[in-house]
Amino acid sequence: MTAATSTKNKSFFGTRFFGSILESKKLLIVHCILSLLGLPVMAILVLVSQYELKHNNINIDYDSFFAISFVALIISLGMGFLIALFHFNYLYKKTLTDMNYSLPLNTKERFFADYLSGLAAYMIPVMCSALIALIILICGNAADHLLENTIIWVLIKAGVIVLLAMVMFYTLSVIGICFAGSTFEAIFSIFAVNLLIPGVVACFWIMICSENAFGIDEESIIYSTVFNGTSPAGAVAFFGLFMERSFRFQYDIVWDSVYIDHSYIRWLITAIIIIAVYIFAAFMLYKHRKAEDVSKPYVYKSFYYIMMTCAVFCVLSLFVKDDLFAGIIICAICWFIMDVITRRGFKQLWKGALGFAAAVAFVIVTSGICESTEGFGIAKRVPNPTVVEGVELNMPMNYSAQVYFRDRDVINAAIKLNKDIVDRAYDDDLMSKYEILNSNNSENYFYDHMNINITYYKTSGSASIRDYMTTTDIAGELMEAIFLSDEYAESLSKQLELMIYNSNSNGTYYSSLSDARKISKNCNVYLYDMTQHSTTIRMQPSEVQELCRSMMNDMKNMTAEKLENSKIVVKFMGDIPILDCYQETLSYLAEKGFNREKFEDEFYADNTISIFSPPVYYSRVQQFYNQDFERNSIQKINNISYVSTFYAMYDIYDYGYANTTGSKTVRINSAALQLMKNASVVLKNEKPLAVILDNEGSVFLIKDTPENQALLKEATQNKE
Amino acid sequence: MIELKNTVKKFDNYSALDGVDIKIETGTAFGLLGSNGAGKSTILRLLSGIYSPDGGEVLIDGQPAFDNTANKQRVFFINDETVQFGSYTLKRLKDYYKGYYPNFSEKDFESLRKKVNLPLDKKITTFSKGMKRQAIVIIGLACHTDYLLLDEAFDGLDPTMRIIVKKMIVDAMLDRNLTTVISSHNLKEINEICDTAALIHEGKVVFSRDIDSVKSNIHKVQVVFPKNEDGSSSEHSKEDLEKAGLDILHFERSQSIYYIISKGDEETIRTAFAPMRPMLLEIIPLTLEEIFIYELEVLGYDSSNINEE
Repeated sequence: MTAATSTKNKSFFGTRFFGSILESKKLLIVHCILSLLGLPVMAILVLVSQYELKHNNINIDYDSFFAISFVALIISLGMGFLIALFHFNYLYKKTLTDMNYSLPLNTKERFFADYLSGLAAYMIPVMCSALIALIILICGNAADHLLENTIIWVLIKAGVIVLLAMVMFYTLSVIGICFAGSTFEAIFSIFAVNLLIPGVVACFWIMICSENAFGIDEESIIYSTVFNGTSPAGAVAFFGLFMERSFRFQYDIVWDSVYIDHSYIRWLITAIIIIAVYIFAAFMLYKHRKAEDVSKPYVYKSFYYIMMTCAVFCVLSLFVKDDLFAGIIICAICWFIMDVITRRGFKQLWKGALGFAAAVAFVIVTSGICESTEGFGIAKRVPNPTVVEGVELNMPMNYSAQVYFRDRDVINAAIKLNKDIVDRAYDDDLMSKYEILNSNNSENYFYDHMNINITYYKTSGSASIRDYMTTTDIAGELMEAIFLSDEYAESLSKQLELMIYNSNSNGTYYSSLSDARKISKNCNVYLYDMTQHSTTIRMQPSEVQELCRSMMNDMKNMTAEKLENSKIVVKFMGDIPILDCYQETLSYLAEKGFNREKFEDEFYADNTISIFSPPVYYSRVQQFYNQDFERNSIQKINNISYVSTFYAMYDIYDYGYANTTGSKTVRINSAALQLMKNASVVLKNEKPLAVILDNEGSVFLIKDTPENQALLKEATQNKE
Repeated sequence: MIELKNTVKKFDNYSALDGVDIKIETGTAFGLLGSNGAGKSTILRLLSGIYSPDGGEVLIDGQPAFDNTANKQRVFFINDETVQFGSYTLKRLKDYYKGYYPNFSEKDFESLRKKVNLPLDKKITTFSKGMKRQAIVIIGLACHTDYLLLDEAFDGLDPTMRIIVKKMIVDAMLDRNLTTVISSHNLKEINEICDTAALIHEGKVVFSRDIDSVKSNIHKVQVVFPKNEDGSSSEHSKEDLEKAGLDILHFERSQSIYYIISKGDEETIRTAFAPMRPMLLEIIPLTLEEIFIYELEVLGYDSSNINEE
C-alpha cells in the first residue's frame, strides 16, 4: 500500500469563479449581444441622425431602431435575475446539489465565488457596452457637445446609479433564490423580493396620503431614501429624478444642481450600504440553508407568509378607502392559488385561510391606525431645523418654478411657516378664532390663498415634501427671508439676464446662459410700469450682464428695513420688480437713458382696477376643491389684524375666484394710480388698508397710512 | 480513517440517522447495506460534506467533514444520479473536476477512459446510463482522492463493465491505498469488493463488521432429528433450540426437516445441537443477500409483512 495522497489546504475560489462564468457562457453570449444592441446602437443612431440633420438637413426617423435598441437594453438589464438563477441553480435543482456541495469549497468560498461570478457576468457586458457607446459618441461629432456641457459627467454619474441598481437587483434576486428550494418558488421569490420592498414602502405612503393627511405629498416618496435607496425599482425612480434634474439644470440656468449635489453622493452611500446589507443577508440565508432543503418550496417558511402579507398589504392599501371588499376577494383568490401551489395540493388549506385572515386583519388595523392618527402623525410633524440642509420652495413669488436655498434664515422661516400652518390646522384654540363663512356670502372679500410647496433636503440625503394651501398672512417672514437671501438675488439676476436674451432671440429659446451670451447681439430691455405700460432701453450683452449684476448687488445689499419701506419703481420684462432702494440698478439704468420721472409721468391710466377690503378669510383646505365640508370650510379671521405678503410681487393665478361682488371697480384715476405706486412690497404683522387687483391679475397691497386712506377715498369715489 | 460517532441526521421531523457509529479504516473497501430509506446515502453525503450532522460527529482523519475544504479535497463522491452531467462532454466534465482536485492525473484518466472506451467530445446526455456511470467513475478515480464514495455504484452497468469498473477500483485501492465506501443494493458486488460492511436499518446500524466475520457468524442449518422410541417424530420448538444456546433468526419446519437460520459460528451451532443427536446436521454459510434478508426480517422488514400491509 502506498501512503495517502497528499493535499494542500488550497482555496478553489478562483476555480469556482472562472468555472461558473465558463459554465454560463451561453447565457453570457446572449447577454453580450443584447447589451451591444442597446447603448452602442443607440449611440450610433444619435450620431447618424445628427449627421443627416447637419449635412443633408434631413430629419430621419429612427424611432423603430431606437425602440429595438431600447428593448434590447431593458432585456439585458433585466437579465440579472436569469443570471442569478443560473449561478445558484443548485439551490433549487436537486440533481445539482451533490455535485456542487461536494466540491472542495467551504460555504463562504462557494457563495462568494458564485455571487461574484454571476455579478461579473451580469455587469461586465453592460459596462463594456456603455463604454463602447461613450467611445462612439466621443469619436463621433458629439464630443464637443458632451464635454462642453458637462453632459458626459451627468451620463457617467447616471451610469453609476444604473450599475448600483443592477447590483441591487442581482443581490435581491440571490436573496430570493436563497429563500426558495424549487424552480417556480425561486422565480416567484425573485420577483416578490424585488417588487415588494419598494411596493410596501410606496403603498404605506399611499395609505398615509389616502387618509388626506394634511400637507403630505405623494411625490415625497420618490425623494425618500427608504424608497429610492433600498430597491432596484427605487433606484430607477432616483435615476429618473437625477436625469430630469440634471438636464433641467443643463438647460435652465436658474436651476441650481442642488438636488444632484445634495442627494447624489448620499444616495450612492446609502445604496452601497444597503447593497452591503443585502449581500450579508444573502450570505446568511445561504449559510443557514441546508443542502437537503432543495426541493422544499420555501426553505424559510416564514418568508412565504411575510411575502404574502406584504402582497396583501400592497393590494389592500390601494382598495382600503374605496372598495375594501373587492380588494379582499382579489387577495383571497391569489392567496388561495399561491397556497395550493406552495403546499403542492389542498392539504392543510385551513392554515392558509388563517394566514390570510391574519394578513387582512393586519392591513385593516394598520389602515385604521393610519386614519385615526392622520397618517401616523406625519402630518403634524415639522422637520427639525438641524437636520434640514436646504429647502426648495415653490410658491407664487418665485419667477422660476422652484428655487433651492441653503440660507439658514430661509430654512428657519420655511420651517416656522410650516409649523404655523400645522398649528392652524390642528390647534383648536387657534381655530376658535375663526368663524365659518358661507362661500356664497356677498360680503366684500378677497379670497386670500396661496399654494406653497416646500421640499426639505435633509442631512441624511432624503427629502420630504409638504404641500399646503394657506393664506398669505403667515408667509410674510418667509417671503422676506427669501428676498433678502443672496441665493435668491443670484438666481433672479440670472433669470432676468436669460429672459432679456430670449425676448430678443426672434423665437429661439436659449436654455444655456453661456450660449445666450455668446450668440445674442443688441438687446431691447423692456421696463414696465404698474399698468404694463412699457419703455425700451437698447443694450449690448455685456451691458445686460452689468445691469443684472447691479440688480444682484442691490438685492444682496438690501436690509429688511429697506425692503419693508420700499416701493416698486418699474418691473423688468413685466415681472421682475425694481425697487426704489436699488440704487446701483437705477443709476445704471439712468446711465443708459432711463428717465424715471418722465416714465412715471407717462403712466397710462385708461384701465380699471378692483379694490378690495383686506383679505380676511382663512381656508384650512389642503386641496382647494375638496368637497369635505370640514376641510373646505372658509373661515373668517376675527380680528387677526395682520396680513403680511408680497402681493405686489406676484400675479395671483386664480383671482377669478375672488368674490368681486363686494369689490369696487374703478377706472384708474390719479388717486388710484398713486395708490398703486404706493403699494407696499411687504407687510409684516400689519393689516393692509386695501388690496388692488388689476386687469393683468397683479395684486397690490396698500399700507394703512393717512395718505393712502385719503387716496383710497378719492379713488373709490370715482367708480366706473 | 472515517468515523461516525453517535451521528444523528434529521430531515424536518424524520430521523434519517439515529445515533450511528461506524468506523472505516484507511485503505479498506466498506460496504453500506440497508433497506430503502435506511440512511445509506445520507451517510455518504455526510462524509462528503454535503450534509452537516444534527448530532454526533462525522470525522475524516480526525477532522470534521462538513465545510472542511482540506478534507473535501480528499473525498470524491459519486451519487446515484447522472442527469446533472447531461450538458457536459466528458472532456469538459473532466476539466471541471480537474480544477478542484489538484492531484488529478491526466494519465490515469486517459488510461481508464481507454479501458471503457468512452468518447471525449460527445455530450454526456447522449450516453447511456451505464456510460454516464463509467464516465463519472473514471473521473473520480483520476482525481486521486484518498476517499471514494460511491452511491449505487454499479447501477446501470452491464456485467462486463461491472467487472471492469470493479477492477479499476480494486487497482486504485492497491496502488494508492484508496479507501472506498460503497452503497449498493447489489450485495454480490459488495461481497466481491468490500472488506467490511455495515447494515443500516431505519437510521440505525444493525451491524458493522468485517464481511468474512459477518458471513462466518450466521448460518443456514438443515437438521433432521431421530424418531422417538415409539416411532413418533421428535418435536423441537424454536424456544427449545434457543434454550440450547442458538440465536435463531429464522425457523421453519417441513415434515421432519428443520430449516433454521442461526447466528454464531459453525462450531457453536454444532455444539448446541450435539445433545439432541441429530440424524442430519448440515451447516451452510449464508450469502450476503441472505444475511441482509434474515437480519432485516428480525427487525420487521419482511416481504411477507409488507405484502400483508
